[in-house]
Amino acid sequence: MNAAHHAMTRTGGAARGVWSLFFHRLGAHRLAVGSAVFLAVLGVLAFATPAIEAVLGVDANLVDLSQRFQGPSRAHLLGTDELGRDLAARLLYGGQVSLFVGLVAALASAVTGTVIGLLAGYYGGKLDALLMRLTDGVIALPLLPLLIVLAALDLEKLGLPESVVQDPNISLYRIIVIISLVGWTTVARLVRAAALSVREMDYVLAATAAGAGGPRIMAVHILPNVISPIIVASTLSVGNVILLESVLSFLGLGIQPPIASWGNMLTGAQELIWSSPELAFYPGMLIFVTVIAFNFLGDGLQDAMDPRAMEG
Amino acid sequence: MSAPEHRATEPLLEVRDLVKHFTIGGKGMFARASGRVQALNGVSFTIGPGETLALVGESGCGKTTAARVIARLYRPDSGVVRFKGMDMATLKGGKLKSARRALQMVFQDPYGSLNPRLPIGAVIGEPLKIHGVGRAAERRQRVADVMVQVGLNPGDADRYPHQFSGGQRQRIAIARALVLEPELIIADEPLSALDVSIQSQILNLLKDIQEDRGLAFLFITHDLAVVNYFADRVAVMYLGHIVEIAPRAALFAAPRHPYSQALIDAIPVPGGGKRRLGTATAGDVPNPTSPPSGCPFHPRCARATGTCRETMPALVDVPGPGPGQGEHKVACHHPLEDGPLEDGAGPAAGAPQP
Repeated sequence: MNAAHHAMTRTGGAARGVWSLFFHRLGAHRLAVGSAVFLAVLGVLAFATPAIEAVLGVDANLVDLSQRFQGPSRAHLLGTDELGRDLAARLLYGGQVSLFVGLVAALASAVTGTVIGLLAGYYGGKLDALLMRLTDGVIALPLLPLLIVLAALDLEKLGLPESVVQDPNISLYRIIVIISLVGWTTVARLVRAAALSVREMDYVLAATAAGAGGPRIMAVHILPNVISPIIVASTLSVGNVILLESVLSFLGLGIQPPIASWGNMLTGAQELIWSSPELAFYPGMLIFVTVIAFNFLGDGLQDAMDPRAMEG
Repeated sequence: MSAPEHRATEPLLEVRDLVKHFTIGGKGMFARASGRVQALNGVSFTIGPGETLALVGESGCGKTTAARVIARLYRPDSGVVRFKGMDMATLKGGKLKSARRALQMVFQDPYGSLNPRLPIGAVIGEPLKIHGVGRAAERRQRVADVMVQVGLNPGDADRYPHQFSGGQRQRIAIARALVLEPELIIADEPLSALDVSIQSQILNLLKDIQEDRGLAFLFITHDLAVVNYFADRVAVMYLGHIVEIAPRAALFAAPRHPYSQALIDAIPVPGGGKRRLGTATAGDVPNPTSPPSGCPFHPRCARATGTCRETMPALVDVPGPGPGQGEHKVACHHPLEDGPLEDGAGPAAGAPQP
């Protein structure tokens, strides 16, 4: 009894040990910590935009042609754009769109890629060959022309109900689906490679010998042992997705005005680059810093989650 | 020859003419197979209820493959694995799963056989969960019970494998094998990854389990000293063949196959200096992708003749008096005689039979 109690206290300490080690390693990565803080602040601000608008008494979509190209003032913290809309509020809405698209599309890609990678890596054989040729095929597709074609598809002709097609956020959902359709390949390859090696571990054989089936082995034994590279790759891919979304929106195929996104704000600013460079500077800078922050965070997670480092 | 009558009772496990070859390379569409490893070439033996059979041989002779084919981790190319009357080689789905309840494995490397992401309580309880035994609370209780039986502290169930030493990890692996109360445990070199000082502890634990529970063991090892302590019968494997199978006492007292003799001679004797190097086998195990013709042992055998190079000897009963007719079989054209060796070097070899 006494010994058992003693062991329990040790257990608590050890369970914390793994996580405290992880945070300790992550904490040592200054850039990653700074990036995480920046992204957290950006996230909170972006998703609290309606409240901020109310406090400041501005409206991101309110066109006021008498207030075009205003400089920073108490009424408009960063001034106004070519239609007299508040620039700060539009930037925050753009951040909301970018983060939402980036996170959701990266998550959807990670889930798709993980499922495909697990199936290919664990079952092997013909299924593996089929799925990996599919992956190779998707990777080999010329991305930008494909995305442009996909974005130009008439959803009504695809047989989607009118309520969906008329949804004001349809361009948002469309871009998430498009990016997810092509974004899963990196994770699929990573997970397949990791699953191939984990599949040969004795603990997988032990589970098989005990009678465990494929789904259980993949969920309980393989997935937890390949989760670190998935998290790292997905974090890094958020930055790529944000870039891709900006490109598509810049080309007019992504987020449609009046919804603000950093990409379509750049589109509006390109003709005014000499007269009002700040209209291009702010969204461009935010894209740059956000993408870099996700890359730093991904690098930091990679170091902190390195299994060899975890053991030590 | 083919011995239709083994014993009065049905054996728990019967392995007959098991063949398993592995193709090297050439798994994909465009790759070409570069060779075949003949891991098992017609292996046959039986294990009765509560009996311990030791499978011994050098590295690479197919012991581990035999274990994994019996546990249906690999599918045999041909042959029969009859466990409790069921053919493990062809069972599928639910029937295979229920057959696996009574047959558990302990692996060689306790660092590799425990999932590093699961607390050990979950590791030990996993077989219960897979087979849907009891509710969560009952499962926890059974895990705690079996942890006590193998000498672990049940309060440690929430700790992770990396927090335990090698010996403790092997206890965890043994607890996992015991938790479903199987009838046969296949132990694949359960000691060889452990420190020598820990080996004896784990061996004693296995011995206790064997005696208390009447479990049958297929005990795979290359350490004949351990065999002498633990096994009822011994099967000696060489390059995918069983070359001799005998009750333990008979094998140690009077090995008939030159290879068995060489293995026994290689046991280090406490006190030193008594090892008979003269009969030790020269050279290495031949490449299993191109095994020698005839008897696989002939390139290393001092007694080999032209017959040995040409024809494969069958596993047949040892002639003459001995323990239980049909119990001692050897596959050799020129088996060693009962009694002293002709070179007279082995006084112990001719010890009278009990």
